[in-house]
Order: sequence, then structure tokens, then C-alpha cells
Amino acid sequence: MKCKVCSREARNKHCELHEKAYSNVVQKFEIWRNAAGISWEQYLNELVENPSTGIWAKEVAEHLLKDKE
Amino acid sequence: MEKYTLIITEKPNAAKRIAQALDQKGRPKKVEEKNVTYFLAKRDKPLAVVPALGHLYTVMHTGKGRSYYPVFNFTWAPRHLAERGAKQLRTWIELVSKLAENAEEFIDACDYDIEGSLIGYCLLKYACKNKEDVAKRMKFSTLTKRELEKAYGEPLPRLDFALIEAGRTRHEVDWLYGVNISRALTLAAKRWSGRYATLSTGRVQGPTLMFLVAREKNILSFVPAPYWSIRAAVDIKGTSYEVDYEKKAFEKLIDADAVVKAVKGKTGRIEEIRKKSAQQKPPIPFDISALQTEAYSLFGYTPRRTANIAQRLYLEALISYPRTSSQKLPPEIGYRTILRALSKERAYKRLASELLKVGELKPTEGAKKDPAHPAVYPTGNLPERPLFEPEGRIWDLVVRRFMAVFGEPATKQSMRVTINVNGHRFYLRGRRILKEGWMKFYKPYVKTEEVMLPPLKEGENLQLKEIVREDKFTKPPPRYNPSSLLKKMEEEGIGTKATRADMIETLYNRKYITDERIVVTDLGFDIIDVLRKYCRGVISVKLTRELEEKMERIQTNSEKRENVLFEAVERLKPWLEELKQRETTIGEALSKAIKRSRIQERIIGDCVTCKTGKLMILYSRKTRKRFIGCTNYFENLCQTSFPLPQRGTVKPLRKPCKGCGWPTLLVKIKGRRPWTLCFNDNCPKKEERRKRLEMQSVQQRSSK
Repeated sequence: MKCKVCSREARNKHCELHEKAYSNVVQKFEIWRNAAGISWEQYLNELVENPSTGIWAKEVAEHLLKDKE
Repeated sequence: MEKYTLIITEKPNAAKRIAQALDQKGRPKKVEEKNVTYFLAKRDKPLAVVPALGHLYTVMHTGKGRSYYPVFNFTWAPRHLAERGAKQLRTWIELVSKLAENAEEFIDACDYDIEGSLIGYCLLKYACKNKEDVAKRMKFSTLTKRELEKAYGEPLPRLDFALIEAGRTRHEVDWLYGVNISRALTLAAKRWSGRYATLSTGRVQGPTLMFLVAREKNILSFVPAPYWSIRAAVDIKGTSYEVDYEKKAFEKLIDADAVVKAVKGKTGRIEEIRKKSAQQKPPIPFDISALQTEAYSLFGYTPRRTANIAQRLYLEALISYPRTSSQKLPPEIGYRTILRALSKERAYKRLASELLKVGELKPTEGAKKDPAHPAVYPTGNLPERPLFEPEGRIWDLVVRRFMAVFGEPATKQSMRVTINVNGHRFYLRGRRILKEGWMKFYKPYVKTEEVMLPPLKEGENLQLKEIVREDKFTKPPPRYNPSSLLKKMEEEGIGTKATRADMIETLYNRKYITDERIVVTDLGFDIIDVLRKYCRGVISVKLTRELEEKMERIQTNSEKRENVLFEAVERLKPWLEELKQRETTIGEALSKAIKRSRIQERIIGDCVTCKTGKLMILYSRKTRKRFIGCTNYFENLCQTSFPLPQRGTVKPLRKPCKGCGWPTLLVKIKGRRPWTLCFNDNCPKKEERRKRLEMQSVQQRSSK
């Protein structure tokens, strides 16, 4: 199986590197929603724009946004 | 020829110092033979002082060829037989052997630590033909005349064999790890791709890279969380003072907004003024790690650079032996003598004289001890030549820290004014130094930021001048820098004080890491990935630390060299088998990583024309000339190209040009100073330069 984000080898949807980033993205949404009351899509856009977001997490967020389109 | 005592030192500079110190007239005879210099001195008897050049012997495989593994059989051999490019060491060893023939006594005067003891031992055993058992040992921590004469007059009757045994074992274990795993990786990549590239890892290198990869993964997969804070200021007699809100961070936006709404435009009342005094103890003396950390934070010097500068200062007898882990300064070093000597230097005169007035000088010390050397301290000798700026800075730092440890505690006063605004509390903070104490000796290396507050009274009203909600995000963990990585290695107990800084440099040289705020490259990631999958033990901090502890126990005769070596080999065997079985998979992964890293090295930055491609150093197929081209050229999307100098080396600088913001390159041509190249013909800086040169030529012409 190939990683949905980078096409590296993967056991599930994501390779080992993006899997960690993906789980961080999912986990942190709850904090963002409680804090600022934003939607999943707004949240992903915020992550893409934010300079502190790690590159792998940014790639996951971009991929999730693209997937939605 | 008259018989003499042969004194072996670690480095040529040390030989000169020792010969000068021991010669009756202070003018030893300098002899040069086949580019090797040694010294003949006269004291109670004739002396020949000959230097080594660091390690002249090393561990070498006894079999032939380099293209196979595992290799477990080794011997100690001259370095010129084991390493390419070490040919000149042959004459060095031959000279020591020749001098040994006519010597009746032998003294090892190498640095008193593991490496120094091993250097001396190898020369005495191999070059001087088994003189290690009859040789005496000079033990000293500074290269001052006084201490060298004492060390010569009262030498240790024999070499410290426990220290030597520990050193031998360390070199042998490192060789076993390094040669086997590095060969396994290099050969796997070479057999898959047909191209050679040096890939290395080792007992300390693997776990160190592992820390960096773990941190890098955390940074790359980091997702920030939002939080909010309140920034506010109060007006006191026309001056604005920043105040902190009682709660540092809000997890919800509405809570922060509610506070802003509640206090905006309101007047506050001073509820409480609290003053607190605290004493700050003087710093402890420098061990090598603390010196490296301080030099990095003050001057930005890498740990290796600091170690090299400190070593030079030691060889010039300006400071004591720097590779020490001691944080103690014993009275035997002569505090007053050193201070009296330092007071002859204008910059230290006032401070040193002040300390000399103190009845009993007692240094503040740390807990760490080193059986071989005290903490780093100035010898009291003043420079015989003008020091280069970095040398001067490190010397000054060591001198001022030495004086500071004898200082009195400093007293600081902090003040907190609580202001109540509509039920919300804000804090106005001030701080000042009541008594400088040790701080005056450590200036300018101690930061003493004072915030003075005007006179205030409880019950006084203050107008809130500014109130703003600030949007903030949590930050990823910080990247390691050479200094914090060194600290981490020390905390984890891997490597030694003498080798850690070099290990970090090796990671840079192998291109596993880049930049000062360390970034792990793809190659670094892939190396760790391979090791984690097939050779987990090599990157295990726990196993490395265990081995390290066992090697340390050899120094105290509570562990045997044979046991440690046996254990290392037994650990390596299954790992190497696994690596061999998976050679093709590993080779493919590593070869791809090497290819990626080579491409990465040639990328200069984003294309200045199409903005989507990358500018890269390319080579013309026809002419083999190099130039800059856009990666989109291959898709027929962008034709951007720029010429490059054809001589010397060019390397992307990864810094934008200060004039135009384009990416820049570093050009190095032999015999010329390296320069930064901006390839933008219309760069304003180039235009400025052109005009300046034109003006100069006009001026020259008119003056003629």
C-alpha cells in the first residue's frame, strides 16, 4: 500500500512519517474547536497557513483539504 | 654519544614548552630531522624532548581488503600503515625509535588523560621497543615552568596502566563498531547502485543521530494549538509600563475577550506592593562542557572550535588543561599567585587586587570531580604574543570566570505591584541589583537587566493605558544546536568529554545534518531508518551507555578489557548477520537517499522567474560546463539559466542576497578569498559597487 500523501510504502493509509502527523492533526482539532469554535475545514486551512505547523502535518492538512474538494 | 633521558610529549608545542621549562638556561637546542623537530636540553642530565603528533598508532584490521565484513581480528599498528594520507608519520615514528636507542631513561609527558596516556604508551611500547614498563610519568595540568619542573622532579614511578587499558579498549570497541557497521552500510549501497559513497555510523554516532531524528520528527509532525494572552500597560506620571495579567494564557478566545471587555478604559488601584530579596551564588568553575556551552551562547563558537582554542591556550601555558570534567579548584593551584600575576594585566588589575584583599579565598565549586585535572583556570601567565580575537575572548572568559568564583553572592531585589482593575489583577514587575558581588568580576558576560519602578503607594490609582488580546500558538520543540546537543550527549552519558565535539562535526561532514540550528537531512533519516529496522542495538542509548560504563570501570580496575571486547563482538554478530541478509533492501534505500541528498546539495533556491521550479547547479551535456538552471526546464516550462564561474567550487549558501533577495552561492577558488555570489545582474548592490568603482577610477584619473 502507498501513503496517500507522499506515495511512500505504508501499512495503512499513511506512511510511518505521515501517520504520526495525521494523528496529531486529528487529536488537536478538539482543542482548536473548543478554543476558537472553528470547523474542520477552517482548522485545516489554519494549519496550512500557520508557520509553526510541521511540514509533515502541513502536507497532511493540504491532502485532507484536497480530498474534500 | 652521551646517554640522555627521552621525554615524550603529545604535541610539538608541548615539547617546546617542556624543553624550555626544563633546560637550565631556558634555551634548549632545536633539532630538525626529516621535517620532525625535537629539543635537546640540559638539566641534572641531558634530556631529549620529542613530540608525538597526536595518535601515531591505531587499531588496524589484520586481514586484507576492505570489501567484506564482519571483521573482528585487529592489531595496533602505525597509523601510516592503516590510513591513507598519513605517510609523513613514518619518519616521525622512525625518529622516536632512533632517539630511543640512545636513551637510558624514559618519561611519558603526554597530557594526563585517556588519550594522552595511550599516545605515550604506544610510542613507548612500539617505537621505543617495550619501554612502557620502565618509563616514568610526568603529571601536570598546566604547561607553566613551575608545574613542569615539579612534575619532572617528582614523576610518577610508572605509567597509569588502568587508564591506558581503558583507552585501548575504547579505541578497539569503537573500531569494531565503526568498521563493521559502516562497511555494511557502504557496501550495501555500493552493491546496489555501483557507486561508492562513504556511509558511517558508530557506537556514539548512531545514538546521537537518533536524538536528532526523534526531535526532527516531533518538529515536522507538530500541530500548534491556539491560546491567547493579554498585553496591557499602565500610565505612571506620563510613562508607560507593561503589566502582566494574572493568568498567563487563555485556552478559550471568549475568556480572553471577556477580560479585555471588563477592564478596557478602567482605572486600577494598587492593592499590594511586595518586595523580595534573593541571593545569587557565584558561578562554579568551568569544566570543558560548561566552557563550550558558555562560549556558544556568548560568541556562537561551536563546541569543537572552543575546544581547539582552549587547547591552543593550554599549549601556550595561558590556561590549565581544558579537557577536564572537574568543577573544582584545589588550593594547590595557588589562587593568590595566579591573581597577583593577573593583576599585572591592566584589564584585570582592579578586580584581581580587590580579590587579593580578601582574607581567605574560597572558590564556589560544583560537584563533579576529575581525578586527573582540576577545573579550567588561568595559569597567571600573560600572552607572549597578541592573541587572535577568538583566543582573546576565550582567555578573557576563563580569567573572569576564575575571578567570579571567588566573589561574594550577589543580592537581587524584585518588586511586584498588584493592580486591581474591575476585579482583575495585573502585575507590574521591577527588579534591581542591591549588591553586585561576583557579578562585577564576570562582566560583561553576566546579564543584569534592571527594571526600575517609580515610587508607588498602596491604594494609589493607575490608569490602564493599553489593553490588547494577543493571538498565540504553541511552538514546536526547539531544534538542537551543537551546544545543546553536546549537553544532551553528556546527560545521556554517551561519548567522552574529548570526543563529543568531534562526533558532532562528523555528523555534519557525513551530511547527516545541516545548519547551526540542526536539521536532519534525508540521508540522516534513512540511515536511522535502516539501523532501526535491522540493527536496533547500534542506536540504543541504553546499550551504548552500558558499554560506556563498563569501559569507565576498566579505569578503576573493576572491569576487564577482554570481557568488554567479547561483549561488543557478541552484540555485533547478530546485527551484522541481519544487515547482510537484507543487503539488497538496505542498499536500495540508502542509494536512493544518497541520490536525493546529492540533488539536494545542488539546489540553490526557488526559481526567480517561474516561482514553481527550483534553481539548481546543472552541467551541460555538450560542454560539461556548469550553470544554474530551473528544474522546470525538463518539463519545458521554464528556460531560466545563469552562468557560473567554471573554476573552484560553488556551494549554495541558502541565504538570500541582502541587495535583491535572490539566492546566493559561495565560490571558493584556490589562492583567493571565498566570496558570496549573487547571480542577479540587476542586483542593486552590484550597481552600487559598479558606481563606486567608476568613481574611484575617475578620482584616480583626475589626481594623475
